[in-house]
Amino acid sequence: MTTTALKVKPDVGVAVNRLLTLVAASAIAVLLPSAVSGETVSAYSGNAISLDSRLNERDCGVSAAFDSRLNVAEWSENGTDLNSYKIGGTIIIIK
Amino acid sequence: MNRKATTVFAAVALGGFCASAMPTVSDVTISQPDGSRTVTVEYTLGEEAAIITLDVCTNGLANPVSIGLGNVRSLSGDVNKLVQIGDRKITWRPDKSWPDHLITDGSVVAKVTAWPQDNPPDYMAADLITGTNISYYVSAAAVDGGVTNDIYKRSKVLMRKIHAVEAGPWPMGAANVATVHNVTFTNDYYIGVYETTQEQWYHIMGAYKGYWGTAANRDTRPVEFMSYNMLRHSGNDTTDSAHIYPNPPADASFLGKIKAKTGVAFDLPSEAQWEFACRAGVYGNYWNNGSECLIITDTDASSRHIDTNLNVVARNVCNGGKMPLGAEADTLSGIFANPLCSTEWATATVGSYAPNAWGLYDMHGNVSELCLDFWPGGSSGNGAVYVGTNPSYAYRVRRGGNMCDPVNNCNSAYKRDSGSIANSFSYNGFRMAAPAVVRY
Repeated sequence: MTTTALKVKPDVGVAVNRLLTLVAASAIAVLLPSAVSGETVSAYSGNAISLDSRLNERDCGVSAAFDSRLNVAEWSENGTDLNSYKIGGTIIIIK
Repeated sequence: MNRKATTVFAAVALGGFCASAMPTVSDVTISQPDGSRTVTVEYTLGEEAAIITLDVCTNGLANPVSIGLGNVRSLSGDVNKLVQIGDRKITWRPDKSWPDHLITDGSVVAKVTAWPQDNPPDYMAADLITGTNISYYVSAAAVDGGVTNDIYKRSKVLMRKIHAVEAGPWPMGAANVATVHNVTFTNDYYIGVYETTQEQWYHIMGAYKGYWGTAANRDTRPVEFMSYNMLRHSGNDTTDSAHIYPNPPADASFLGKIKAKTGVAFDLPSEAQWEFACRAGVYGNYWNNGSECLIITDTDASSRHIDTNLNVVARNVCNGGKMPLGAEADTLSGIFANPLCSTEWATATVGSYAPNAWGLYDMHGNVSELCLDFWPGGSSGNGAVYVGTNPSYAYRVRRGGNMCDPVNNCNSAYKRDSGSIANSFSYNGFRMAAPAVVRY
């Protein structure tokens, strides 16, 4: 097991190592930081994902029946027209 | 305030160490179900309630790069507000605030930040209709709907945090205008991005107030025809010692009511707070956009000396604040008798002119802004409110000049008395300040 000091806070006058990272086997164990008065703390997600923010039939209010005919691959890829998609060559405009 | 964030990449969290009861964030996950454009971020907040904000990054966990806070809007759930400890969830709709992006390499990560209650983020928005929704945003870019959205001139009040402490001493005043002396603040504070508007007044008081504007165009104009008593006292008593600063505003006053409704200790700024915020780092005889002030030395203070630099940042006598040259009401007194007030004359809709470097609008001109200090002011070295030696004294300080003022009176350092605290004037308005702490 390896212990690594990650941060020292010179601005509070007391050099205290408040974060310890423990590297154990294949897992990374991270001790979570707490803040001193006034300081923010942040944490990133432990996972990373792919993301799709293109207009989606589930999120635009189209009915379920209509939704079932939608071919996601046929969405309008025109970046200037985010409120439309295609069903079999017909452009559907989302109001 | 130290706003450095400590970042942790938590693949597996095994334990924690806390020196004091300050917030911790752990177990952050991000997910997007197949076929949905809704992204869910879950996290655990420990130790103490905190303001939670979210950023989204690409480029993976090893070297995450923010997509820009302006793209991480359309949030709901446990974010941009005071959150209690426990397992919490945020919902993000990227199709609304960051549309038409397809990231296929599995590099998108979430960053959750906890802000202690004594160091909230730079922007605070108070909902004047519900009174219970107080939102916080890291930056102007992150403000929901954008800083210039009309909602912040109508049913919400948007406040900007002024980092006054870290600025150290600064020179208050300006040569030939007011005595120059150094001020060093001991606390940060929030101040209104805009002057308080007539619609905002309505949401708190239940009735409109203001001389300028008709029902069709008054809402986003600054509220005026203000007296100090309306804002902080009650009735017309000029010796109302129970509500003289630093005592709290009277329950029936605007500031008393807005505090009761929102829980935020809104008040008028001190004149030192006002001037520091107005200047935004520009000292001396300069407008707050950094351009030099025109200083008029002739004896006709009401004359129309046009300062094109002032016209960029302020409604003033030369760009619509007063009736045009040759018009019937072309006198300083005539404007107040003008029955044809429209969007064209007198006050301007707040935010009509350029903001200063800290994103504050209408610090020069439009309406004179009432401050807490007793006339003649004279802020001490720590910027404390001047209360003088006679607390029944009936005048306060007002700053910034107004729509019918010539250039000299709009100077960052210029001050004048408010008139009697019991009397209303159509050139007196205000902008609120609040402590830079969470309301609870």
